[in-house]
Formats: sequence, C-alpha cells, structure tokens
Amino acid sequence: MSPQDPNHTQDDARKDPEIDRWFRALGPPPVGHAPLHLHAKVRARIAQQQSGWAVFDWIPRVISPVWTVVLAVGLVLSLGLNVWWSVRTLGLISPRANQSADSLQRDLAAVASLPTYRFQVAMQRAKALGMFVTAEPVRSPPVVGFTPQAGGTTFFHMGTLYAEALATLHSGAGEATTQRLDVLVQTLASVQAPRVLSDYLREMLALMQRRPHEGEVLTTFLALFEPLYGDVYARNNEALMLFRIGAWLENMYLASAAGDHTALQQGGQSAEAFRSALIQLHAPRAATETLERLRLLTTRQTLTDQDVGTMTTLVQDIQRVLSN
Amino acid sequence: MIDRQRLYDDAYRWEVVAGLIQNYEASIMQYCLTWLGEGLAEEITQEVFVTAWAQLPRYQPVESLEAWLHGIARNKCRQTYRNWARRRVIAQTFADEIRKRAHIEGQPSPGDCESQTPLRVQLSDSLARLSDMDRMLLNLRYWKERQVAEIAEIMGKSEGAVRKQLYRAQQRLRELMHEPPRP
Repeated sequence: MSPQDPNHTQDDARKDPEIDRWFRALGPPPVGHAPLHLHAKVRARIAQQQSGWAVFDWIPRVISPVWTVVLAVGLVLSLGLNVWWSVRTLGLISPRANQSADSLQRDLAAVASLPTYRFQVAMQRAKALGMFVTAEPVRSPPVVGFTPQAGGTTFFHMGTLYAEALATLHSGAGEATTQRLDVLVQTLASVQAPRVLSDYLREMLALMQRRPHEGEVLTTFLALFEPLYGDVYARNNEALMLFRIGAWLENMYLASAAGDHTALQQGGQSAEAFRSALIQLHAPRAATETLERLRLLTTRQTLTDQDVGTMTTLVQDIQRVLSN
Repeated sequence: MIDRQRLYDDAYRWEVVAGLIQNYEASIMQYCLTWLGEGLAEEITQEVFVTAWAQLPRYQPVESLEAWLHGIARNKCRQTYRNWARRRVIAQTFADEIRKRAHIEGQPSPGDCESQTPLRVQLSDSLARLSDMDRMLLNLRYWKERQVAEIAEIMGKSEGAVRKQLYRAQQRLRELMHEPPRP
C-alpha cells in the first residue's frame, strides 16, 4: 500500500516521506517461493512428533504453565544434585571403589544431560569405537581468527574432540585419549574458556596417570565434563550448541563406521533439532542441507549397508564444512 | 469440506493437511518470509503445517481454514519474535536482504535509475549500523509496509512503544544517511 493509495490509513500517513523514498529505491520486498518437498518435510516432522507423543501427550492436558515452571526448576535442581553427587563420589574414590563402578555407571546413566556418553555406551560395539577414532590422525587445534565464524568452528571442534576422547577411553586406548585431551585443553585456552574446564581436563589427565587401568572410573569422570561444559556455557547458546553438534556428529560417524543401524536411527531423532540450531547460528547452507539428507536417511524403516555408507560420507561432509 | 468425525484418524487428517499444503503453502511461506526473512521462513512454514496437523481436531468451522491457518502462522511468527536467538537471526536476515538488494546488478527495480544504486548501498550500510530492533522496525514498516498495529502485535509490544521506538529508529537512520561519507 502506498501513501497515494486511497485505502491508506492515518497510520501510513505518519511515514517519514524521505525514509519512504529511500526504501522505495530498494524495489519490492523479496517474494517467497513454495519450499521444496514441503509435503515430505512436514510428514517427517509429524512422524517424529507421533513417536514422541505416545509417552508425553498427557502432559499439556494435566500441567498448567505454573506447574511446568515448578517442574522445570525441580528437574534442574535434581540434575545438579546428581552431577554434584557423582563428582563428589569420584573425588573420594579409592581402589575399593572399583566394586561400586557398576552402580556408579547406572546412576550416571540416569543423569539426563550426558547425551554423548549415553549414546556411546548404548552402542553394540561400544568397546571398539576407539578403533575408528585412532584410524584418523588427531585433529590439531584450529587457529582462532577474528571472523565471526572462527569461534563457532572452535566450539564445534571441541565437541568432536570430546566425543573422540570418550570413545578412545571406552576402548582403553589411553594414549589416543591423552592426545585428544591435550588438544582440547589447548583449544579451550585459545577461546579463553573459563578455567574450570581446562582444570577439570587436567585433573582427568592426572587421574589417567594415577589410575590407568580403572577404565570405568576414567570414563565416568570424562563423561561428567559434558554437563560441566553445559553449565559453564549455559548463557552462550552458540558455544553450547556447536559443542553438542560436534559431539553428536562424531557419535553419528562412529555409529556409521561401526554399522550400528539402531544407534544411527536413534541418533537421527536429534537431527532436526540440531539443524534448526545450525540455521539459527547461520551455519553454511551446505551443512544444513546435508544434515537434512542425513536426517531423512535415518527415518527409513530399515537401513541398508549402502545407506550406512552414504551416512558416513554425509557426516564427514558436514564435519568438513563446519570445521572450516 | 472436512469430515470432523474422522479427524482423529491419522491417515484422514494427513490427507486434509496435504490439501492445505497444496493450497496454501505459497501464501503461508510469503507471510513468514515477510515477517521473518529467508533464514527462518521455511522452518516456520513447516511448523505451521505440523501445528495445523496437531490442532486439526480442535478446529471450529466458525472461520475458514485459510483464516485458521493464517492464525497459526501469526502465532508462530509471534513466538519466533519472542525468542531472543531467533530475533537475532531475523535482524541479520533483514540486513542481508537489503544488502543483497543494494548490491544487485542488472536488476533495477521498476522506475529505478543508475543514480539509485549509491542510495541503496548507503541505506544498506546505514541500516547495518543500527541496532537489531531498529533495523527490524524500519524494515517491516517501510519495506514490508506493515502497519504499526500489526508490528506491535507480532512483537508483543504496545502500539505506543513501537511508535516511540520507530520514531527514534527513523531519527538515527536519518542521522546516519546524512553523515558525510567516511574517507
């Protein structure tokens, strides 16, 4: 509607004519085209919702907004207590604690915010994952530049390194874990991350030297780095999401390399959330489009070996795009 | 015509939504594009139809399906503006849209002439120096030609607050546009 339009309201009359002229020089605003494959995308999202609703669809009917806030606070407190309890237990650990390692693992698995750890322990060949990691040379710390993307690349890189370190630890490949943790410490320093994170990893490295054969204890200690990182970067969505995406993609790579169809399909359920996060973070389009292809593949009822091969390539492509 | 008795049947409900997609995808996409820019438009368009699917059993035929669907789109856009991170994406996208248009070559707008290009570039540069909120307001008001009342509704602010902020944004833009060019 233009100011000359007979339908224009008083509201339009208040437009500043000079500014109006400047904007008119831009020409008409962008016109949208119907998105590609919208049917398929909407259908996939509905299918995803349906699988989640079976358990949770009673919640909105029962819980008022006030209760939602109360429950959310309760959950956060409970999570904090669990993490605190686990760290405290590990701090006091003695050689006898090996006996309680199993129960510790169970308690740990009950803590909700350990997606990388939980994904790896649920895999059929959890103890062999390190083999797939050590097949590749350790990634060197990225050079932190001054472009807006540089910081993001580093957080993504840290997520990848963390998942690799955890996988090598599962397999008892101590040297490979140490190498990755060293790089992770350097990378944390390069982005001037709060010291508590690098201190925690240094403590982890010291623990590895003191108790190199206590695999379960070491894995548990390293698993708790993730909620600590989440806590430290709770107010920095970019740092948090890119770390999670880095760890998740590495897990997807490990699942595809191990040919674990179930893990791939389960991991694929998070793909949409991560894709949205990447869009929000202005990630390169190539990454979000490839991620969408990956997600669609994971929604297939049964995966063939060819699908798994394609997924490996797609994951590596996304990793490559997000690392540069 | 919708058979309300069958709306709890997933297959039938999908048929209805597929029909809605076919008929209204372009208009919903355009609506989202206007309010949110290219970065989020497709994402939110998908969300609109997913929500339509979920809420279809509660649809009351007091309004047309098209109006109902646009109501969902309006709510989705409003929710998007309430999210801090997404608001940043919108502001960034708006800047990108104008920058793209400012530097586009060989596609002048109707009535355009050679002399408009420096003006477009200057406008793009000046907008880039404004705050996210100022840029969004000016873009919506002047380029997308939205009413103040609509902007206030989507942004969850009072009309008075939007007017005041828009006034200040206009002042700042005018100052920047009249600044002598930097060496």
